[in-house]
Amino acid sequence: MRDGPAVLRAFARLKVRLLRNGFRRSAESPWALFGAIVSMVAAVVAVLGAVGFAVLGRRWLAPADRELVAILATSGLVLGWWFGPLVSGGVDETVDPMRLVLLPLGRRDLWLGQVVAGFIGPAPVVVASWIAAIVAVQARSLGSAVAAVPAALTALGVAMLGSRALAATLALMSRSRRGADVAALIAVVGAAAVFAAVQMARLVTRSTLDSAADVLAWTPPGAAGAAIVAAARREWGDAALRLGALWAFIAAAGAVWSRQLRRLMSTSDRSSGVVGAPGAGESALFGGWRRLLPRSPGGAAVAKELVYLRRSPGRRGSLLAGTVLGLAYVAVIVTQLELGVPAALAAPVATLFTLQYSSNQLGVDPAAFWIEVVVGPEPSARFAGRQVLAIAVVGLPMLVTAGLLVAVDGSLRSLVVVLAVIPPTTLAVAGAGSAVSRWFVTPVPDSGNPFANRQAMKGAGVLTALGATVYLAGVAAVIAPLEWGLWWASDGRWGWFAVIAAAAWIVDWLIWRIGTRIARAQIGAVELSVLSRLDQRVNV
Amino acid sequence: MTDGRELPGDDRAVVVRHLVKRFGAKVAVADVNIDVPRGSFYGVVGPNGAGKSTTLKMCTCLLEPDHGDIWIDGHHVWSDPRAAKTRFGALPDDLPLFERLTGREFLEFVGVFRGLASDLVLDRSGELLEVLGLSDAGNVLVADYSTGMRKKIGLAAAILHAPRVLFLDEPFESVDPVSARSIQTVLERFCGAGGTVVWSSHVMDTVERLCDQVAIVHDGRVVAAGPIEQVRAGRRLEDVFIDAVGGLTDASSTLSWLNRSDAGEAADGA
Repeated sequence: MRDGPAVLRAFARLKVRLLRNGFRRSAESPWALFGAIVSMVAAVVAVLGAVGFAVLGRRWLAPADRELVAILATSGLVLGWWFGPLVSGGVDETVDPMRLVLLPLGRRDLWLGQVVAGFIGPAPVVVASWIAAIVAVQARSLGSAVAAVPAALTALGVAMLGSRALAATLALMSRSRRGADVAALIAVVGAAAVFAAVQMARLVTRSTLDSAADVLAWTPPGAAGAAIVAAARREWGDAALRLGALWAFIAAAGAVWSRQLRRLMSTSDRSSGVVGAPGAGESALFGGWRRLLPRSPGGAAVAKELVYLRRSPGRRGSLLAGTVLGLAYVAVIVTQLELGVPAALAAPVATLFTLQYSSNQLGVDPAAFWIEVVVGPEPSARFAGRQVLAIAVVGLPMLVTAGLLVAVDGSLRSLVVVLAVIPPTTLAVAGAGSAVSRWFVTPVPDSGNPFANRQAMKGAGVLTALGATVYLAGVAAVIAPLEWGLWWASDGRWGWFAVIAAAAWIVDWLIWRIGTRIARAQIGAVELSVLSRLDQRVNV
Repeated sequence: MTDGRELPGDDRAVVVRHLVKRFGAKVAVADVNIDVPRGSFYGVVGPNGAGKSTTLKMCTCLLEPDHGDIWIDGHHVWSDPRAAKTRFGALPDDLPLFERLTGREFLEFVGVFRGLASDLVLDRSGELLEVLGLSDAGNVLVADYSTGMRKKIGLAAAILHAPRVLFLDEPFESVDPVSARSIQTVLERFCGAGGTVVWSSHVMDTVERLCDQVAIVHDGRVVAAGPIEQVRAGRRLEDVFIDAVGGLTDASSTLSWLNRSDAGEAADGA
């Protein structure tokens, strides 16, 4: 049994070894190497950017601008540390307590060891270098720079402890079905907030930035930046007040993390799976309104998928993520731009942000997928079920978007355009997604549990992001001209509108048909390998 | 749970008293009492959902009991988990491993965290990898290991510090015969050197072949326990087990549709 410094050194060595091994080739996860290289290059670029900012920031920016950047950038860095791993699917094995639970470590050693490991790696280096750059740009003298150091260290503490408390809380919540939904909601809303902020960046004015900074300066993510500014100004009372509040936050986050760690390591993920039983002679699968489905393999696949949509946190997480991310985008566009063509265009664009979830119909659920592979109905039946999720994920945000447009616009014109586009676009996204999903096998996260996301281990997240970008551009190129045409025609040219709408249906239906046919042709050859990539516990 | 008092030294490696665990309304473990003699190969058997894994998790600090006490090598597990963890090793069914370490690095990491000297860790790791047939895979990432290899590297990590007691949850499940034999060899060697093995299974033949002590668990309770010869009482363990847990359905008058000719007609009809 080791204590104190020896344990901390062991944690540090472990983290370094894990990072180094990220650059090793792996048969099981061939894209991990690619992901590690991309991450490292991005980190190097970010650090160089911080150095450039430190050197040139004072020359480029006026004092007021420098203070604004300090608060906004610190907020972004802290929020990125909190929610980045949830959005990217990144997993730091050293902070997963379940990998350490059998070792004779005291709680304090485990806690400190995880803090040490958490500060090692590209992401912490990037954050630390940017905070150092912010201090350098703010400092008016060596003395004020030294005075800002406690605020900079506090910012790192807020980022680290907040991140750990959030991750441990989500992991604990994800152990029950209802908790998994809430955890997924928190993760998705956090991701949507970051995403919306990025979208807002190109739309906001200086005055809105000032307002945002004023608010953020009194929140944990931004208060450290404000404290750096106050220290540089030698406003000691202001700096001390903010640092005091932040230390209270750090203490609270540390207490939450410690408590959740103990619970994570001594409780089970078992939860009741009992559901209501069907009546005598009633079908379990085709119960309720699912009795309207045909009693065929395709109907059974669709019925199974509908049951899963109701019961599976993974399915609901997909639906939730697609809806929230799509709506966040639409809301930003609709509220920031004058209504008109761009607002209507936002509807199909919003659907594209569901790609990571909807395109991966092969990878939604390894267990259910395995049964389909073994039983082996005809390919069309297998895809019928899988495309239900895609259609729901794509269709729901679009329908909500249509309502949103009507509410804001006050006319039915946008609604007509959006509704004319929804069904064919949904088909196109689902069909194209089926065709490409074999290359982007990404297990849909079951919940907001940041320790359960195996895709990060395989580097599939990076590959999926790159593939998704290409895919988005391709689908958008097809959809956008049609919707522009529909918008133009809806201005009283209803004959043209009908023609273009029909063309949209035909084009999108063809995309769906061809995409699904390609996927069907591949299905027999790739199903087993896809399954093994989804879940290494499955022996295939 | 009573306060952590030490049991006086005796010939029992594991003592479980009045262990209870509930999950909502379901009582998974209901007043389990077990005494495991030192040096024994102790099998915990029971049908699926009987409470075997839950009991082992509570013994190995993975799940906090609602009530009851557990002592391992005289140390109260939940009052002093750190001391208890130095006395036992465990191979749970689904414990996550460090995927981005090689097998050799993983063992080194475990050894360092357990306070073993570096040269000792290297010596023991090399031997364990060789005995378990993982020498060639020692420098392969754990992420690339098969199910059997993961079980074996987990077992190596569990016994690296030469614990007094070894807890194993279904160690032979999803493992090929060659891997199973190498795991079995290590366990027999461990037991022969005075270690105590406690393992759960529902494969009666394997339990009968390896164990000298057994406890049959059903519905969260121990329904029979003791030396295996005593529990068997001259019968096959499987028969004793089925008598103890019941639930065997007479299928002779049902499933008539499985008759070859009927099945063929049904398929043709469909």
